[in-house]
Amino acid sequence: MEPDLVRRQGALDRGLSWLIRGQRPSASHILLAPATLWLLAFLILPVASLLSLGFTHRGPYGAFEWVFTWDNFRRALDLKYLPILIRTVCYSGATTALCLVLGYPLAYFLSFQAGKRRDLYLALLMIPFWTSWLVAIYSWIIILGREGLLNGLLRALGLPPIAFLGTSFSVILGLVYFYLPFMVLPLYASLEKIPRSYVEAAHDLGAGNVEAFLKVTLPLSLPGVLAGCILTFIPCMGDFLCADFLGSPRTYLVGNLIQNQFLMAQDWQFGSALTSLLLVFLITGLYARHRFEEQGLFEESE
Amino acid sequence: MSDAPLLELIGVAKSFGAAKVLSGINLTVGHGEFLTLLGPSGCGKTTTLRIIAGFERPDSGKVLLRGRDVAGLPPYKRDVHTVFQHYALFPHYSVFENVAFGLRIRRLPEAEIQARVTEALALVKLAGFADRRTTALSGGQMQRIALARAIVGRPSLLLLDEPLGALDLKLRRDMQLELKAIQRRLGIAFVYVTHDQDEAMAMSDRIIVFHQGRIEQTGTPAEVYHRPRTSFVADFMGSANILSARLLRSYEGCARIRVEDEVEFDLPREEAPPALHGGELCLAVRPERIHVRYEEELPLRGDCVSLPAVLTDTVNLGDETQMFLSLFKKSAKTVVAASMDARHQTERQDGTPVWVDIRWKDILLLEPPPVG
Repeated sequence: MEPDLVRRQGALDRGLSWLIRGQRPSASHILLAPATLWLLAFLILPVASLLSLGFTHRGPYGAFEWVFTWDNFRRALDLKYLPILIRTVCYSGATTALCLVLGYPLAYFLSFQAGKRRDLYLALLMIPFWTSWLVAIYSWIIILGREGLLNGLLRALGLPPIAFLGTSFSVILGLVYFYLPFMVLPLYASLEKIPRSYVEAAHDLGAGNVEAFLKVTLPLSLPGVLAGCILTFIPCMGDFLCADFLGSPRTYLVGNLIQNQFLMAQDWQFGSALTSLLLVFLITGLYARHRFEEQGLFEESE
Repeated sequence: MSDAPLLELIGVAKSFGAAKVLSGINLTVGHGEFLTLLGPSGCGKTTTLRIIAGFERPDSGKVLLRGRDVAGLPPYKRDVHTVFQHYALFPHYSVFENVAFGLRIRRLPEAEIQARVTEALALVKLAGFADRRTTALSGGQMQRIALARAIVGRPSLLLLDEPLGALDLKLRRDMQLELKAIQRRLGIAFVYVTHDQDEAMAMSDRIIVFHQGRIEQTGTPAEVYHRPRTSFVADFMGSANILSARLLRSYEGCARIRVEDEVEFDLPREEAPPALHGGELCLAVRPERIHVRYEEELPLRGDCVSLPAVLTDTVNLGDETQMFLSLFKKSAKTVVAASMDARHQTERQDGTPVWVDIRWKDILLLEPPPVG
């Protein structure tokens, strides 16, 4: 009876190993296949074809001519576009900084909440994120406009109206409004992960609230700060909606420049060259961050 | 002022929401004393420690540190340091900076910080570890660093919350001796929280047994072990056979007891047994105090109770033999005897009739556990 059982189990094992090592696809391949195919068909291929467009010649009226050229990149690197790039970096940087200043206390507060209250606060935070951007941006126009709510308030106080719209102020305000959740969520995640006992240990050793924060909580939340800044900065760099609706030609950003090539100028070749350059710029930044991390400058806590 | 105890808790109570965690806690800690708060999980010992540290504020009662009420003071204004259960070492600092943390807060001169941290690391036998990252240490090493960090500031009172709980048994035994030695050497009072009664017995000057948010008994390890006041303490400190009993009559220096409503005997006693109304009480005997005697052997000499029993099972644990005995026909209660005697290791057949001898002084009469 027993040897028989052993033999049968051996056969079963061999059968399984044949299944796993044999030519047949393994379970993980099968599970990954749909997502891989989806990404390939709807992300990799379109992006690759769009980016390859940047290396081709633009025919009359924007016709695609599959002739290799560096012209689009040469144009894109023209110094006349440098102010736009600098402005975009400044706006994105300012937005990231403001989001950090506004988001850190918010995330800190959230990290002390629990259960239903925390869920409620997180939902409130996510509402701008879930709202249609069109509705949100028109709401801002209503608030900031020449006859808007804010100017109505100023008038009621007997003050002269201010042209908010079309300024860098309104564009950055819009960017902060849209991208704040991108800052708060990673910050919250890293703050919430810090065990309470670390802060208690700091208090126990004589540190007051400020010292305990500066010496324990803040340094341990730096990975979250970095993640939040990257997640805020990158989409800001490509944003064109805020500048389009709340800005003016004076607040023209890289995103607007790219958008115009596709929608107005019918110059997809140039637009794709610009997009490629922006991607290279951002990927270089991410790579630098990665190198920093490898050097242990932003080591994660346990 | 100087005759005030180092720490005194008077009538401390604490609830979390509807759950009453502590009620009526009174305790004192003397200068240089090693006091252990012992009890099962959820008994309130850790909450008591957190109240002393200042992490929790008592709902009522006083926390006197050298006679001064500190119940409202935050932890950083108390001359008390804590060794946390999971060490709570700062992962972003080196071993040296972890230990130096409290000294840097106090802005001591760099040379003194260097000297004191080096001294503290040497005391916990981790002198060469100053530059290591704390995340790369073993559990035992982290435990030592946590201890060094807590003692380097020379507190008058050190609180330890199950500091050895995460270590394996052998390391724990070694650390118990070492902790005790360090405590003696520094002369710092320790308040030590544990659920391990062996640990409490091995290290403490005094033990406070907690049960359901109350203090069940206070005393030296020997007192608590040999003279438990309640059945809970008897059972928690080591093992005990706990039987229900009834006080039938109590006359001059003697009490007649009926055990498990079946076996009756007279028990000479100087003080009156702590029986409730109707004579309800608990009788406890430690397994090693039950002498099992085969029928052909002579009874134990001296003042003892001898009862007939039947051997139902024998378990050989190496140095010790456990014998399971049935003393009662009606109730299914089995009594366990532990013997180091080699003659008990040669197995007798289960069902062998035997005699059970228990000295009078080894029979503990205790308050019965509260109903419900």
